[in-house]
Amino acid sequence: MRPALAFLSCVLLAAAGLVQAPPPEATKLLFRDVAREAGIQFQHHAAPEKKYIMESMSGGVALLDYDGDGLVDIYLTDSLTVDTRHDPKAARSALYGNLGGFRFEDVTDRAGVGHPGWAMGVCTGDVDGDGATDIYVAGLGRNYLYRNNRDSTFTEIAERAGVAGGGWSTGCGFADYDRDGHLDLFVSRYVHVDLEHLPEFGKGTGKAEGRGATCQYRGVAVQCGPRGLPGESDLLFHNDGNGRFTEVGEKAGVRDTHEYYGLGIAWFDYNADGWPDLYVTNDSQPNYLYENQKDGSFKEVGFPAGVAVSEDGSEQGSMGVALGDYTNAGRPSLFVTNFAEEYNALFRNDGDHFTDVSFRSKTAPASLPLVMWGTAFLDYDNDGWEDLIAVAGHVYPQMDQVKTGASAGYRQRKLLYHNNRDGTFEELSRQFGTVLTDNHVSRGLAVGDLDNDGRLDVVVSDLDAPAQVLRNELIGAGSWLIVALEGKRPNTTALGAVVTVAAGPLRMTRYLRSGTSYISQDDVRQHFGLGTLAQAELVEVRWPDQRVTRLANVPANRVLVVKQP
Amino acid sequence: MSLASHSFVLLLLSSPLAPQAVKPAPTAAPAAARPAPPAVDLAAIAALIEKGELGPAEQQLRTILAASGNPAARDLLGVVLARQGQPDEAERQFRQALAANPALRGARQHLARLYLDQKREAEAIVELREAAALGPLERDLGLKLAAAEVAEGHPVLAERQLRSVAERYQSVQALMDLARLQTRQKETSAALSTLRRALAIAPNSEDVMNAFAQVSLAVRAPVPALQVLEPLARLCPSVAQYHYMLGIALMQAGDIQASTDALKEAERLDPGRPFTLVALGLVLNTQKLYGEAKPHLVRSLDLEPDNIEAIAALAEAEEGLGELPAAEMHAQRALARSGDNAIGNLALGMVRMKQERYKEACEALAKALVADPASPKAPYQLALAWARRGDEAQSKKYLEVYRQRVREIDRLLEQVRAETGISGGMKR
Repeated sequence: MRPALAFLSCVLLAAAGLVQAPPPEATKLLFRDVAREAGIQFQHHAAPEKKYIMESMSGGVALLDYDGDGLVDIYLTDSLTVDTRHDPKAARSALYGNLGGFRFEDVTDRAGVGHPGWAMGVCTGDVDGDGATDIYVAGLGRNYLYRNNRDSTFTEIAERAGVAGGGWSTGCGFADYDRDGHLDLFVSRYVHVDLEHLPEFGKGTGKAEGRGATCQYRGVAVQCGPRGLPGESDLLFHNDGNGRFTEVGEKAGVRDTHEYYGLGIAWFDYNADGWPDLYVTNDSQPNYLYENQKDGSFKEVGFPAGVAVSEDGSEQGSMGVALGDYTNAGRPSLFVTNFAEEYNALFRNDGDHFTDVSFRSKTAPASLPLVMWGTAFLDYDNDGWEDLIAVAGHVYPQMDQVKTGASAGYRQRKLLYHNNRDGTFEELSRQFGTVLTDNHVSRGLAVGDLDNDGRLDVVVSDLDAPAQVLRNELIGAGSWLIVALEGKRPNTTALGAVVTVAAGPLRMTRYLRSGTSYISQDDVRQHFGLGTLAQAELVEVRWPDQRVTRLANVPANRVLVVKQP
Repeated sequence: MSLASHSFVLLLLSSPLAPQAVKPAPTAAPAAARPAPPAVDLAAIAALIEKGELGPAEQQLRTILAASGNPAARDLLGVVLARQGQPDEAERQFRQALAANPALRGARQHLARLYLDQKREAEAIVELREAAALGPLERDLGLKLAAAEVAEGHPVLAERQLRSVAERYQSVQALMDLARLQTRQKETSAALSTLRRALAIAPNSEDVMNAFAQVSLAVRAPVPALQVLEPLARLCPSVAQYHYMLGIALMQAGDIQASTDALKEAERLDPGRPFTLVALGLVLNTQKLYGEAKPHLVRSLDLEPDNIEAIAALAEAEEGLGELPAAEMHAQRALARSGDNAIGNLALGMVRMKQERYKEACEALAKALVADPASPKAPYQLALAWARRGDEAQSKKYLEVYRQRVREIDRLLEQVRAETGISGGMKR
């Protein structure tokens, strides 16, 4: 049949109701946004036009159990704007207590954690070794340390503890880098801004700043920076163990003398020598990998290790970083989210160096049009292999007026990569309905099991919009195990511990850390998918002091609490 | 330009003898016995010729010649005769004039024009060389002589003529020809400077803009190229070549996305041009869109199977797609034909890196570095390869080369932003 006739026949048959349009591609339920029904009314604030770079970069998410009830609570940061900068109450960060059954209660005011100024990132850890999780909020102007009073309230002690910082802090993360038992704190900082002398929108002709700044994007006026604006160094606060911290960035070799635009951070032991190393993503500049020299100092090895720039040597606009053993090889690899027209970089850990396998792993192509931020490895279907999620959204609302070329518009979709178990991934967000493909302007992302059902949920902070709480409702997910560690004082959250689970053919490794994603904090309990297996033959915990606890034949589908002997 | 249509007023005024002709002839010694000849106003006669009043002009000239044998008047009579269709007689008059005064530059040029009209090219060039030795030539004759000098392998003489014409007449054509000559002699920076002068005289000339862009691209100066190609592509939206050149300029400037848009437009307007397809493949490779690049490159190879750039770019795309055996095969095929091909060596180096054959990777990448000194990828990968081989000193050395490249790229990007304002989106 000739094509024209074939087409005509189809039209006639369809009109007569004799044929039906093919059904839409079948979608499975994975995530459902339950924020409202769960009682999470959080609204992030930012100026609508985002005329200044500070108005595009917030906010973060932390999943923590602040009240020790075994249920994961949620903390979301909010930001001020240039117009509201003199009114700290104009922004309200929020703590949601988990009531169980996916119901949450806003406990912000009672807890006293609602107004940490122009907030950006958040991380958690037990800074004073009292067994309760404290909250650190990084932001513009100064930072806040909320010490947990163990009665569902917090006391802000940043100034007193010496961790208030200053300038524009973005990401943060706790780790015991010198293995003295106390949690130290790294804070990344971004751009130096003077709120009274901001570079003029679209022109960069501010009185004090902005000369040479990039204030145009494809011919359209946009916020200036970060290129052309002065950067800020990073901060490392050593925990002195007496309630006070001392800033030791320079002495430790992590000050960031180049003053790169720091954002995401990940503490992890990349070379398995038992000492925490540190990865810092820098926007539009090379990323840092600081190798712990075991003497209180670090050596920057980003370039020789192969994690500083893209495969072709391009400095990328790096935002967030995920950490995971996606090959089940027992080594933590890095996934870095980047700006549009760059690719998200998957750096496979090969022991003493990394290999950029972004294209070989098939993770890169889908990311090219997107500006991506929060990200995490997560085994969403409990098959024993870590998958990947990343959220996106441009920095310029003006993108929608621009001929975007290969870039997506201002609001962007998420990416969900399924691990094919052979070093490659398949991006399949479209299989799971619109919750992943609807467009948002997302920033922070954190992963944890909010209802202890063994399926990992995801919380996303959207710029100038309500938060998304993505409940994992996948039917047919495999069995699971969640390992919750209770470390020895003072590092009671056991940050830096490594948990390995052997189950059948699987050998999975997870890393307890503070920070990662985009200026966010995942639940520190470690999740393992076991597929069809009913138990794990071995659960091995390598504690931060390198001692090892082994548990044999642990039944599946439970939260396993392991205490450090 | 033929003799018949030439302006004699200009020719007369440009003649060194014209003032003598206009004024009464100076008398070296008083010739008391003979009455002074009547004042000779050759300018007035030239004006008559210009108006086409050839009969009265001839009559006056013959009167003058009968009285004094003035060679300048004889030259003008030759012009009248040529216009009246009597070339043989005209030639005789020109020759007589020149016999009387060999320095009569105007007569030599008139004679040359006569020869040119008669297709007696060689004789014309002889006369023009003689005339040029006496002083500057008329615009078109200067260009003619320059072309002849180029054809005969005398670039210095040609350049002299072109510069002379350009100076005297602000001639865009002379500047264009000069730029062409300079380009042929690999003096591309000088050519760019020459075309800049042409552009100042004729800022909206499509030919000049086109030439300026081509030379700018040849010297890898994308900023000036962009300054003319943007308006050219806008003014002539259906000319595929301008979109192609704009794409190349944007690629050189680092605005890869805009480059892709321009090259896609060139391909849409004039599909199936191998060089457009190769450029598209290259620019898509740069964006890591290997899956999109590959079909363009395969198609270009269908059209031109031996195109080394296309073979090498295909190897690069395949390497990016993880198709290592195919990438290796194509890289080696490109290198068998051109061992110093930058992209071929880079692709082979990347394949070797992934095979963890670091020594061979270093060899290929080092060749890529030499072949394309502007790219940061080769030195970056070399730094990684040496680090994998445990040679920290070599690794640091190439890291420094890489950093230098990045600084140069940053400088270029800033320049592009500052001077064109069209590429703000290429890097945040």
